[in-house]
Amino acid sequence: MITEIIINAFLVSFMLVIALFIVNTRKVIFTILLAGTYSLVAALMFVSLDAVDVAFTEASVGAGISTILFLAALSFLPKEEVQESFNKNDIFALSICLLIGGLLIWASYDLPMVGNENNPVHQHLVSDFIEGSKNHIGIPNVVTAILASYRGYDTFGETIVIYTAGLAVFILLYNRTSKETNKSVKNEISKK
Amino acid sequence: MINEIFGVWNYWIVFTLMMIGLYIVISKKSLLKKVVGLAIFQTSVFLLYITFGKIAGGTAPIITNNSEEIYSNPLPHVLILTAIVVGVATTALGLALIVRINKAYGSINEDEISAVDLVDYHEKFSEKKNK
Amino acid sequence: MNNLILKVCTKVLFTPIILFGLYVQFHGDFGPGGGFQAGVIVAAAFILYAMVFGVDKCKIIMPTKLNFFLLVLGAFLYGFVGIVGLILGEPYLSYDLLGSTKQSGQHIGILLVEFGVGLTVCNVMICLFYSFANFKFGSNKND
Repeated sequence: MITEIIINAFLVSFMLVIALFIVNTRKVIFTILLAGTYSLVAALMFVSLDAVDVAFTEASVGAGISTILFLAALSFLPKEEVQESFNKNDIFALSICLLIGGLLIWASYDLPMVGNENNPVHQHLVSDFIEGSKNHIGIPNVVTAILASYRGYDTFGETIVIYTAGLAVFILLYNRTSKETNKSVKNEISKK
Repeated sequence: MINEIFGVWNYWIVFTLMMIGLYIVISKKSLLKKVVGLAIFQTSVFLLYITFGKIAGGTAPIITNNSEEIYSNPLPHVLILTAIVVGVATTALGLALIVRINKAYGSINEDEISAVDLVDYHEKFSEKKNK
Repeated sequence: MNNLILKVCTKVLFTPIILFGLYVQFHGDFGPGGGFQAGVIVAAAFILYAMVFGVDKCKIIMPTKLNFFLLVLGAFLYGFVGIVGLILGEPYLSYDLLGSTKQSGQHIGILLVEFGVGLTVCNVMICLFYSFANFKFGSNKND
């Protein structure tokens, strides 16, 4: 119990420090690398909360691929942000964030305690899923069983979303000019 | 008292991180910084979901031969697993849009973009008036 | 990029990364892993290759047409497994009748579906990287 709390507190303070540094940096490359580190620490946090599959995904996707995509995009973007002084807008944003954060923390006392076995989340469906994964499907990893079999529609939808996002990025960044000039050149040649 | 605080400790952290993400999205002018802020917000929501699924003294939901094992709730894990991958796809879409915006406007600063828009609008308006 | 160390390391690492991706893909039933993670890991191998040797060299081993074909094939495979179940007389995307017993049917269904997810995710990530790498910034400013 006490070691868990110490590890948790360490990871959490690490995440908070990284997030605060992200607020302050002006060099974009530092922002991106810090965001990658943030994802990696979040993955460690997921491991300490027993979500190994999620941690795996966060480490490979959040810390790996998204950092690469940010760096790829950075090659077309300005490398440094414009200097801003602390102004009226920031005070407005800060007060809104403090207000919402305070309200949420106040409301957190009504949420069920973390890690309690009798929480409403653990009462329905889940025991069926674990039993079904053992007897009906017969694979040990319950997450895969739910992902691919019980919630197959959900995963199908997610796959289509990723597919659509990939195509959308391709269309957005496609260089039309080269094809168009080729066409116009071909047309001119055929006219002659 | 101590137990009560540790019972809601994780929620506090999640909400603090969420608010840092929200602050970046509201106050920073750079569009790239806003996307990073959204990523922080997103990760904090993932942490909230995973926190709901945690059972004290439980293990990861991979079935072992020990029949008395307590498993953490696998349902939030499944939801978040797919959400992370969709999150990176949407981030990539946002980055593509930012790259296009930078190509069209020559800047990714919010103020400069709206200034360019304003100038364009006035030029068009005066052209119509002259006609 | 003309760094010998990077080139040799990439050549050495390329196959083990893909092998690890396949392990994650097909061991997902028994331990942490599955289509999403495996797809990203395999894509990481190709992106590493493209970053060290250049995108044009990478397009020799993974041409754009093949990339799009596999991208569509993954999503199609997922939907097709569901339709096979539909033809055999069960609800869409339930795999009980795919094998001789219920359990083996579920095993086959989950394996195929995860493979479809892996293919799609892997090729979407490669497609994203290609799109960003091929983008020409200064070509048409008025567009």
